[in-house]
Amino acid sequence: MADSKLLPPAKRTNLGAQLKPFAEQGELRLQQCSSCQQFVYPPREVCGHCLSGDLSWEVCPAEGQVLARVDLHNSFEPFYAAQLPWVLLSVKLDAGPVVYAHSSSHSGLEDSGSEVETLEIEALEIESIANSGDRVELTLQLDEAAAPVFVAQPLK
Amino acid sequence: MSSTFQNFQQAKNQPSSYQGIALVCPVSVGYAKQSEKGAAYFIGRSLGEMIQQAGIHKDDVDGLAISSFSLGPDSVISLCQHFDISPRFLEQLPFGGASGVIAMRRAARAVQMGDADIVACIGGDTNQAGSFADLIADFSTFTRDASYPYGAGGPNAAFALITQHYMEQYGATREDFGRIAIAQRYNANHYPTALLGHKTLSMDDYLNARPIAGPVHMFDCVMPCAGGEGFLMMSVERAKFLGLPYVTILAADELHHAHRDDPVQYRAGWTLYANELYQQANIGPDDIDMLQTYDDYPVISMMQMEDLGFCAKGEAKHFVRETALTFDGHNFAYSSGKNCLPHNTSGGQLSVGQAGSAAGFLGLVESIRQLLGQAEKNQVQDARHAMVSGYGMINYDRGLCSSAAILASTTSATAGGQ
Repeated sequence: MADSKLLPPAKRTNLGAQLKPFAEQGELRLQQCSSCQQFVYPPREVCGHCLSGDLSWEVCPAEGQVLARVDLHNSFEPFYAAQLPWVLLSVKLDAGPVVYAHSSSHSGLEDSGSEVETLEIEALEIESIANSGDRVELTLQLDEAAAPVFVAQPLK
Repeated sequence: MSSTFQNFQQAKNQPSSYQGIALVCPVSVGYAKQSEKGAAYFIGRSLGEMIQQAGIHKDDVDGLAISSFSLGPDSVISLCQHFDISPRFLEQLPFGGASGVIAMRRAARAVQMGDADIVACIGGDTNQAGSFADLIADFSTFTRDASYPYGAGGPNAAFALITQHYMEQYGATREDFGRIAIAQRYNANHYPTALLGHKTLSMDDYLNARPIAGPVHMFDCVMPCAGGEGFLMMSVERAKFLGLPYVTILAADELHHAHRDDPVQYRAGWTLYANELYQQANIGPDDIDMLQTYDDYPVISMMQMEDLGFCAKGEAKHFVRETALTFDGHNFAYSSGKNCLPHNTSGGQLSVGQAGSAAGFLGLVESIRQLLGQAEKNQVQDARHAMVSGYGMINYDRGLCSSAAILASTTSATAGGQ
């Protein structure tokens, strides 16, 4: 369980920080090129398809497929180091970009009171961890540091 | 894209010959797990050792091609004042694991064209407490937004995803990666500079190592360290005049962010120029006497074995099961030993240590040493040709750089190939 003082890294670029208001509203938005209509990620200054500088944050179709899933057993960040193993997913969105995402199975673990309760929650949630090839729905949320992160939830 | 431009692309020129270029005076300097010294120490001492070997004055060196992660706020121009030299050719190559071959290519053209007479190509980095953590926390704008916040600090997580995908796709096992790591450790046991060369590594040690991320465990990961690697480049005429034994470049190329539509990396730019390298060198993979891959993780070495034509895509698992990868052909029980291809003969980064950008010079410097017959206990016998490849810069989810070169000995009776 994470120490209450530990927080995930909140540092983002100026562009990356622009995801925050959308995370607050629970809207999945990515940069879309007004010239070629492609969605792009990670956040960038120009479109990686046509080099237009006209990118705006638009609602993006949320479904995608897990490319790979690994359990991190090591992290330089104390927040993660305190709750290993931590699941990391790479997801290919149907809209195009590849996105690293948290697993939805992590949500709520930090709120549980007792160790027993935590274990029960973990046992329940293990089934909901997506694996490679699985279809997932991506959401944009605020993490414990109130920074925007993507979370992947398996589709039934 | 217009069809005219596509025609131009199809008619793309091959790199012209590297004839007349000599690689001399390979050095590996100052390896330490940590150091309070700055990067300029490792670069400067590499230069010092090289000119001493060459029997020349520092002012004879009129070109510098430098690669370093930890030199900042200084750059290659700062080094001119630090070392009190007045070069007329400067190059700085922020390309990590691909920087050695890229520095070599830039320097070779400078010497061929008369922009410099003697270029010192050096990768050097320090490793101070916390400096690796600082580097990975802010490696690129993409990592800052899209990987570091997820706990994916450093390359381990990105490579764990690549490794996991490769294993699922091609059926490679952890034992296969172990075959690479253990042969390299054996090589390092015969190379005193290797920081882990005093320790042996068994398959049990490998398989039971501490998990790091997904299938990546302790002995799949390099140990960050401090050190310098370098060599001098000059014309063959000048090397002969100075009485210096030299190695030649039969072919070299690079290609970056290739196969960019692959959702997960399982190959890199090598696939698009490996054939041309062999054509230009007028030899084939069977004529390569040693292979030095960029081994930041064993899966990447397997990609290089495949993409450089030593086996088909996805077949590196068989290749490592059948091939003795040690410098002397020593075969372990877990390989059939049907073939022999000395691989990462100094131990590679996995056993020498990863001295930042110097790691991008490690295989190149080792190849020069081997082809000059200047390796000591780990000398490959009768080595005529070496393939050296570079790879690097995990800007987000994959390594962007690829480079490779075929080098030839000039001392053996059968040397050449051109």
